Amino acid sequence: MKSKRDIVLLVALLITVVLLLLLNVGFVGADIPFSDVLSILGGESSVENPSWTYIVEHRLLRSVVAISAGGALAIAGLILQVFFRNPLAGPGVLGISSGASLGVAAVIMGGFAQQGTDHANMTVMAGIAGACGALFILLFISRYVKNQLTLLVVGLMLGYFVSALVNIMFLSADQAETREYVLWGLGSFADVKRTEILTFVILMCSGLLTSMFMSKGLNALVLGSDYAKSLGINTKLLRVGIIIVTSVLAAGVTVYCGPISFIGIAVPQLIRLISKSSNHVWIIPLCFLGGGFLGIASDVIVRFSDNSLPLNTVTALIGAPIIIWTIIKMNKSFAGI
Amino acid sequence: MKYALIFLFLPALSCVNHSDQHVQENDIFLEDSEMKSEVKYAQGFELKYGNGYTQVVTKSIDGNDSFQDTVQLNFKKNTTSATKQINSSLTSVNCQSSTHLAYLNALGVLNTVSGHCGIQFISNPTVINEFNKNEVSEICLNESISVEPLLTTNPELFFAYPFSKEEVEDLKSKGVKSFYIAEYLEKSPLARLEWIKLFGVLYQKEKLASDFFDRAEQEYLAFKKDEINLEQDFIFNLPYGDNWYTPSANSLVVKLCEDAGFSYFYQNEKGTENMLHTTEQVWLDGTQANYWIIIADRPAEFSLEDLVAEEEVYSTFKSVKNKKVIFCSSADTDYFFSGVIEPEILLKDLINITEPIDGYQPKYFRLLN
Amino acid sequence: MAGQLLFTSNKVELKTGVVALVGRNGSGKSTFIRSILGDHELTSGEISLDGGPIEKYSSRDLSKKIAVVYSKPQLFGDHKVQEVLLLGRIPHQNIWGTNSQKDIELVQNVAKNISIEHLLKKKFQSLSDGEKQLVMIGRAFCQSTGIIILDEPAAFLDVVNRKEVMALLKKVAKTEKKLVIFSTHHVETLQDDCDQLLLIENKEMIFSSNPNKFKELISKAFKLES
Repeated sequence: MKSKRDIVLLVALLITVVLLLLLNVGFVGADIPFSDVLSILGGESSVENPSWTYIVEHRLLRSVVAISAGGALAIAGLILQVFFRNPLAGPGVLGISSGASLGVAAVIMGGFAQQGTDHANMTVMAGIAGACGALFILLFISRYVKNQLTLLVVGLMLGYFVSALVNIMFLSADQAETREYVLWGLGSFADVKRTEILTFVILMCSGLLTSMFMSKGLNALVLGSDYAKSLGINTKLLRVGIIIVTSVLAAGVTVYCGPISFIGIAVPQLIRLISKSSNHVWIIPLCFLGGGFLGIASDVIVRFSDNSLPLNTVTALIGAPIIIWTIIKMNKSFAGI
Repeated sequence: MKYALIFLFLPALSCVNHSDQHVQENDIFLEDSEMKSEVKYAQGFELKYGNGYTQVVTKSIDGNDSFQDTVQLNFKKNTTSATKQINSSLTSVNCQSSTHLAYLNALGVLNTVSGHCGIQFISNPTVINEFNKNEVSEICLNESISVEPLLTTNPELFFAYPFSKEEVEDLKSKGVKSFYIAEYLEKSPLARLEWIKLFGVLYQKEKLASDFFDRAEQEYLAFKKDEINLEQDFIFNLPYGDNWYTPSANSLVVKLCEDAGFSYFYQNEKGTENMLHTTEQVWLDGTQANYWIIIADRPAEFSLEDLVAEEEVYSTFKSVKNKKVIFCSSADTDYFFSGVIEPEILLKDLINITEPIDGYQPKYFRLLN
Repeated sequence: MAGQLLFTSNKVELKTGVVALVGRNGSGKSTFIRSILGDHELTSGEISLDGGPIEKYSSRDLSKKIAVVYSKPQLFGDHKVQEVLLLGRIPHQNIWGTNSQKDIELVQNVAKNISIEHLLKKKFQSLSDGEKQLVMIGRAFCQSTGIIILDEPAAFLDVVNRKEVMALLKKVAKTEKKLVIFSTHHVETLQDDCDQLLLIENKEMIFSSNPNKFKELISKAFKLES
């Protein structure tokens, strides 16, 4: 009986996401008749203006990126919240995105990114390494610090530390490099190239799938690591899985789309409030769609503003109130904090 | 603790400066060169010749960020109380922009620069040599002025942008004589070049400056097209992220292109600020415009192929299909340095593209292939 | 910790019933419990379960044999009591952790048995400490294991709640033929609470299955005069 409501929620989210995708592809931006958009999507190429095909393709790509990036961030946030037993955890606040940023900064400003050379793969690897590094630091510190709020402060400090390091890199970087980094920092779903999109979507979807396979472990983990182990969960393996999945998801999004804040915390909170299920096998796909919804909704707003609002501004405008609202709502229902 | 100490010393430093000025005012004055420069194009500065003094006034042009600034050069003891007085030849100045250096270089007074903002970004070898020789100080950190090095170089004048006004006003209170230079607000290349006369007055090299200007003006006017050719319509530059900042139809660079006979695709859009178009919109327009003029930080050997590699949609642009992309590498040429004082060469480069000039060797602009 | 001798013991065999594990702080109770759960490797000696050494069991197999209750109930999330009880079914579920009808019936039965039926629809976080611990014990029952180990289950409970928990353990051990091992510092009521005693004293583990002798043994061990 309880999964019925979740099925409705799942389908409703899916439909909304698809509608927003159509809106984003067909109606926002330069004026292209919707019938032409449809025929382009249908594979026809003989349309009035030769650039229309590219424009529509570009809109489709960025929409797909927006959905999968938003979904990935939401899942990463969800897993981190369970793992650190903290409803305010997320790739942004814990400094994991910062770690990825450091990797990106090192590649962009360390002179690796010469004009014309393909540095996408290198940035991805560096980003994931940075995210993993941040997570290991957090894990190390969380052994000594049991207080949940303290861990968040540690995450914030990691963020400041990284931005300090980035500022140091700025000193020796040339203008083109700093410009590239600043631009990346504003966040955008439009920067994933056509050649990279497959890697990106595969990365995000494998994260989604792997986390689905971890859902039983996550179910048990709400009781804490000791209980999870007594319930037959291989907690060591789960821990490794969590670190890898969250790093890959958070770093993948951060590298390709910039450090996008708020989606990672806000969505899991909302989904837990709305969904009736406590089984992660439901919560994970719901979070993915919820994140995808917020991602593409943000992109629609960005594009409605003629790109004058940066993505990070929009996610903050939407995400921060949700977070505050949910903190108030679930103050009672969560232990700790 | 460290910062507290710095603040303690600041008032002491500025006190020293003030007392210096008093001594100078009583003793020596500049020699009046008797020559009066005339301002024909520039709207951003005025020269006022008085009895025993010359006032140089800079001011905003469009009023959207209004300012006015005056420096007075004294040839004898004056009672006029202009804020900034200069009584002896300038021997130490600081510059916030590398365009200032272009004027100073043309007048042969680059050796008076003792501090500059963003030395690491300078690519011109002459300037680098000169700066190394004179041990010029870096006065900025991450594009904002750092007070200590600036105060240490103790310049007689600090040429500053008006858009960092608050910073500069703060410096004034610390005893730095700043002077707003806004040559980039001018509406035409000749007007921008004319600022050389301002520097000519400040350095008492009016003759040199005037001659420099007249020669360039003459050549510019000789080549300048009187009518724009609507067939030669162009879009401009490259996008920054999702946005495509295009210069206003009234801007200097558009004027330059129009003087070369090109017609700006967005000439009907009003406003004095840069215009913001979505990349998508420009992608649509790119299929219509015959030319595409790009001034960008790309390597010298940048090709049409490299351009399309940046964004596949460019292959649908009319200009790309017909190989009519005009390119200037700001990394390779000194467009933002010497380009400022060579408008006639910029113009000839552009004209050479539509009507090749015999044996002409372009310096800044070329067609991408 | 490595290699340090905590206590020695003769061979002890436990079948069903309620076993209390008593000893002073630092005597090795927790280490012993962790050893049974396979979390701690013995330096010497052996613990075997159903004839095989405990280390040979994977945590998955072990979870079908032994359920555990820790002293402090902790849960992250806003689960209902029923959902918490269902977490006990995890060892028996497929990879997706979906609850079968059988799971739900079993959970309801357990709830009835330990009289927490009225709590099923309530949020776990809204319960009192005593209720929470009852639910955690119920969750262990739902795991359908032959052995239940409780690490100071009543440490944070008041007298009334403690009595209730102890009575419940005794009842279940009897009716379901389970082996219940719990560690405790509350020695005053031991003869009522359990029928076997594991006492760690002076680096030695003593076993007794005679409730009448418990008091004497403990007094001697803790040097209490009664």
